[in-house]
Amino acid sequence: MLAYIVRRLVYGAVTLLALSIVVFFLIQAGGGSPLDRLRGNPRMSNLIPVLTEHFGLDKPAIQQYLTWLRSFLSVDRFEVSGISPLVALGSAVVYTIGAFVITVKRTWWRSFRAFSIVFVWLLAIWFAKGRIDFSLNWSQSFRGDGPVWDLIFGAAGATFRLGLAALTIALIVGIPLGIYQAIRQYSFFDQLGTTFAFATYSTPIFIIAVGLQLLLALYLERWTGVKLFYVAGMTSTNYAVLGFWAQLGDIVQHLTLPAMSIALISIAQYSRFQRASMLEVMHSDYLRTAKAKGLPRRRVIVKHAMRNALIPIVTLVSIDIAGIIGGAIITESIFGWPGVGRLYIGAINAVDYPVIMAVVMAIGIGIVIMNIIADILYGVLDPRVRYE
Amino acid sequence: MSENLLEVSDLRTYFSTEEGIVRAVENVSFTMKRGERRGVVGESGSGKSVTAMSIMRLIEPPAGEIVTGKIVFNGVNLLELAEDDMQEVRGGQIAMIFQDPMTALNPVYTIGDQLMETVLLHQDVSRSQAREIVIQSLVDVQIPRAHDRLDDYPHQFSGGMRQRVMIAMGLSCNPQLLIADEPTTALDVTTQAQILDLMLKLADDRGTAVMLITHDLGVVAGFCDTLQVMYAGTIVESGKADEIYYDPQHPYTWGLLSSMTRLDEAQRQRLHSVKGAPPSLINLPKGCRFRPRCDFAIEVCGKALPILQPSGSGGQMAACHRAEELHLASIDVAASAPVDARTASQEVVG
Amino acid sequence: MPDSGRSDLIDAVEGLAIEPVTQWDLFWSRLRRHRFAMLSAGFLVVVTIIALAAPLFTCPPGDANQFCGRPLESFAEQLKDPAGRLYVNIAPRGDFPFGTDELARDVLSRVVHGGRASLLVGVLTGLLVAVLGTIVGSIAGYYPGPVDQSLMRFTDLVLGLPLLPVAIVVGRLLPELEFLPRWAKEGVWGISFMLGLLLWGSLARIVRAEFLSLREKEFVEAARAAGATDRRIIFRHILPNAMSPIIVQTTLIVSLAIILEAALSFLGFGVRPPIPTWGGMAASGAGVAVRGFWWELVFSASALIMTVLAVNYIGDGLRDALDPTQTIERR
Repeated sequence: MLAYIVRRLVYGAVTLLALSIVVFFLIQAGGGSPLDRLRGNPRMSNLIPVLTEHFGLDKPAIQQYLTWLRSFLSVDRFEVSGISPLVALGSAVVYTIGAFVITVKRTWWRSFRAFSIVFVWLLAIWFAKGRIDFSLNWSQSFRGDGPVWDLIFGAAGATFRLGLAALTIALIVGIPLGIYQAIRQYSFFDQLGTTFAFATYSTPIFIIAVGLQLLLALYLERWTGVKLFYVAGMTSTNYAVLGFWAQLGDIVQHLTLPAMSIALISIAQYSRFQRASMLEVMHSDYLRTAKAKGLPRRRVIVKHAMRNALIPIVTLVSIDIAGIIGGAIITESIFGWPGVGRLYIGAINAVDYPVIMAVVMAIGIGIVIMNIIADILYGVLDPRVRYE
Repeated sequence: MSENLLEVSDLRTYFSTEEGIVRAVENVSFTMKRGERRGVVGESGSGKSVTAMSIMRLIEPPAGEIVTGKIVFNGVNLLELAEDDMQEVRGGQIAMIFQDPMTALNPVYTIGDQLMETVLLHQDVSRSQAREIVIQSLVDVQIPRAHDRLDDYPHQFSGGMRQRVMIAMGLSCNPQLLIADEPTTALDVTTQAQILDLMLKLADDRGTAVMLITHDLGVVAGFCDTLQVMYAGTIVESGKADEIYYDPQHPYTWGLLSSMTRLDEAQRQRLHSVKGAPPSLINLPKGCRFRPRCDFAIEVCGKALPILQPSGSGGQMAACHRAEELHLASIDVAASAPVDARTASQEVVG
Repeated sequence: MPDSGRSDLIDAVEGLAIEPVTQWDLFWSRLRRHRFAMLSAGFLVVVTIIALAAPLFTCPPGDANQFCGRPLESFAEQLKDPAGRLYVNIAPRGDFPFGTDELARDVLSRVVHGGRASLLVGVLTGLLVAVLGTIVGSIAGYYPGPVDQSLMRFTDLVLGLPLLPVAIVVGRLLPELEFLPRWAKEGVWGISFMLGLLLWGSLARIVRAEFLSLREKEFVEAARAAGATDRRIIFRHILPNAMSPIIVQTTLIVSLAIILEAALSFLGFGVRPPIPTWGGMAASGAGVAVRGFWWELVFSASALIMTVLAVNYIGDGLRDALDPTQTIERR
């Protein structure tokens, strides 16, 4: 298992390296310089040669790439306050190894082990987060916005909130929808769900987003006078002075529409996939066995069918993470969401390649990690899987 | 309580498909006594599995439906039972073992979990008692180190071992009837007989009646008291197994028997085979369903559907217009090219 | 909706039907049963005809002088009333059935012309993916060992690229790539080419899997034993049997490409104006719809959605008809 994870990480690193090369040289081939926009400004244009040398833009492309790579990988700050965060992380490591050494032959142990490891790590990271000051270099933005690492991590929280909300909605709605469709196959509800799914993933996300803005914000407010959702930003301007519940409500009011825009397409995908996978399980031999045992229909579906039908969706979700990030790029620019997507579009327009590279790499890293997590989760859910 | 454990009468089970209505089981009636070993023989699609599924009431609408009929088990018509009560019957009083042990067990739960589930469902015992019962049932089906293997997953067992687990599951609640749907077809030839032997011995110990569904008359020959032969959704012949062997009354049974390799008649070179393929259950031929493939068909066979009636000396039943006149047992199989057979039958008639 | 909803019992009894039917009959009868697919096919034919005949359709009824005679440029033409004022953001009315946009252009003629670009992006991308994916997948599947290994590693790599971010970079820089001819930089061809290069991976995987299983089949063994060349085996024996998944996957790519072009257009990195695409029009319409100019969003967006929906339904119908056993979309 450990060997498997290490191999996946190595392979992920190779993919990321290739990704960085492709994107870097694409930008180079484009020929546009990030300093071009200074050209029109007479007071700035004489700075161009200085800045060109400063950023190394006059060097050969390959050398620029290596410079970028070095700065991308080098640690900028690393300070630990006290011994406690190290103890927390260390005990998480010890627990993980221990949990794999101990073998208990029980069904529940596999699940418990996996979830307890995740829990322990979350706890350790949460504890250590404020106590370790860590940043990589990732070089400077050409637009003078500061270190790229800080830019990305300033925006990552917003995108993470949006993506997590979208994923949660998609899972909570999409999976039960698909299961219910499978149980009531060919019913009116099933047909409706299928039509909805087809219509949704035939619609570009920006049309969904604008449609939601128009319907659930603009027209809703115009017709009923109720301002239920906001169409821009993460919070209201008076957020800081609100009480806890009002803050929470404010967040939800801002988050709902952009998250729903992203989630709808995922709901369509998950429900279709879940329906098909559930149908396959419903016609399996072991389900017939479960019925022949005399189990009540509900137990048959909940214990025997759903557990199996949920396994393949793990893979779909891990693939869809890239889709959610792509959706976030577009949605953020529609809803004025100060996340990585907006940062990216801004950087693209200015050919600010350290930022472009960093965003692409961050997304790539996220996808690699999600895929590994999905693979591990698959193994937890399906005892037949062996990591070789 | 009557002597009969199971009385099926006039059972019809249909499936609706896009091509039309499939009459998978039509007018099937039979009875089983307590402790009886009954063989149900037929080609695939002859309705034998659907009959079994109907008894278990595992036919699911809207695709399939039990249209008419009675299935009286221990004096109770199962078709009139509420679903809750039927669940008590399933697995508790009637257990079923399926064809393919590789796929019949849920891959994500341990063997012990799945076995205990049945026990806990039908017996009023604690978890630890259930565990003991399950271990004992695994010992009974001769699974080595049963105690350890309880926490293994199905994929860690071989096919034969999994079928043993299925048998253990079926018998763990001491059912009165065990329906085994081709339990050994998917297995290695060498393990087939072992598994069957084991299953029937355990059933005998418990006084459980067994309904053994198979396409292999040879299997029935060794193991069953009574036999019913099914063709295209109907029973064409039923009775005591030996009597049917030595004096088949229906041309289809006769054809099946003739196509068996018999060691005692090894000098005969040619093996008979029943020509043609079974009819579509959507567009059934008029009259006798076996007519298109029958060597002995005459005019009346194309007009009226023969009903199951006593035939022959042994007291078995056959659904053939010419059952009494044919004396199939005396017809030489080796000379059973269609023309010869027809001549032979005419001689008999003449 | 089509699906494999029937129990194996039915499959067992259904197998008894013994009418002789050809593969084609079977395919056709299954496809016809898929009502949505048939309807969609009809719709697509109409849309394609309209798009092909776009130059003939550009005279807005009632508008006497502006368009006829210069049909090809008309989608970019700014409309003026007799007094010389621009027709900006006119709501749908007799002479402009779909209204005009904020640059005073006729929305109807732009929707008709936009169809040309959007459909072309779909078809070109689909073709490129079909060719690339089939070539890579066939070679990988037919020559196991190092060839297969290296090709599949490369495919994994392409599939591992985050699609939209990379497409955005390429879409942004495409017009600045000096070594490309002009027609490839701007307009439909460049975008299609880029999308094709990004999307072939999934098809290559499918084709490879298909080849791996088919090359072990008896009829291929037989052909090999009879001395057929590799080329003959690939083209005459394996490829025809692998066509179903190729066709289905290509259909899905067509709809995906149309959607992706729309997304890129929205961000300003798709087909560049003034060439109209449905995605581009919907994107600019989305910006002004809030101000009440709904017609600038609704017509182009519906054309886009309905077309993509039709392609998806056809893909679904083809999948059911070509391979009824394969009902779960696996990766």
